[in-house]
Amino acid sequence: MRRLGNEYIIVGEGANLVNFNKMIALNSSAAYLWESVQGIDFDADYLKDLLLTKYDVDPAVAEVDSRKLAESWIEAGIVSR
Amino acid sequence: MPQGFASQVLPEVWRDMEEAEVKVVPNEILLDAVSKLLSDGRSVIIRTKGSSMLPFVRGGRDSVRLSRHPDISVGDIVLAHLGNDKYVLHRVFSIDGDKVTLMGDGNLKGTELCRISDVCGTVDGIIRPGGKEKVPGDGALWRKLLPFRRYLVAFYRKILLPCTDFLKINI
Repeated sequence: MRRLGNEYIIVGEGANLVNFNKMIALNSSAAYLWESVQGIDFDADYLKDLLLTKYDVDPAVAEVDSRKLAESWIEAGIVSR
Repeated sequence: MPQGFASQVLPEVWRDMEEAEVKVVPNEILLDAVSKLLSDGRSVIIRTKGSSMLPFVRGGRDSVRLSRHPDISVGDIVLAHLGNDKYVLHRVFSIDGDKVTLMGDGNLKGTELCRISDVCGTVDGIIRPGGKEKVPGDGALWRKLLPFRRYLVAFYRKILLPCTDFLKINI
């Protein structure tokens, strides 16, 4: 995750290639979730639990938010199933 | 927003995801980051903008794969950091000692001058929409056609490019 200007972005990157076309911009809560899952296998439920622990949010909302976020990360190519 | 849900806590996350189309980052911020990555020895892929490298690199459609090369040659397409703090992605027109003259393939007259040390990276591949990548040529033939460039570029911009966009093909 990088700071670009005053936002957080994740760029699809491997050791040698950085692809700015695979880039996703995050707000601070999404950035928190991203940082929390670095280096581990996770699923949408894990994200949901992170949301419920850190934020005062309705469980049904957290459920949908986390699924959508995970899907968007997969679509952006920054995580794989 | 999905039907039946109000996202109370993370409205920005929704907005990011639904508006997750193309993010336009100011050139200097992005290309400063690109330049640093290239000098670290990594390859970078970025989308291109503008028409100054037509017909070979179509801004807004094509992306380029860049890396730092030990040397540059006439005919290379390079990313250079100019004295006025702007970046250009143009072809090397001539090299005279430390001085490099650049010219966009789509430009009729203007050239840019920089030092070899201002060249951040060289284009290794031009990536078309759809993902196909091709190695750039050296533009030698295109250079010979300079006297006719005005007409060739006008034809390309006004006729060929809109047709290929419309038919969704790449040539």
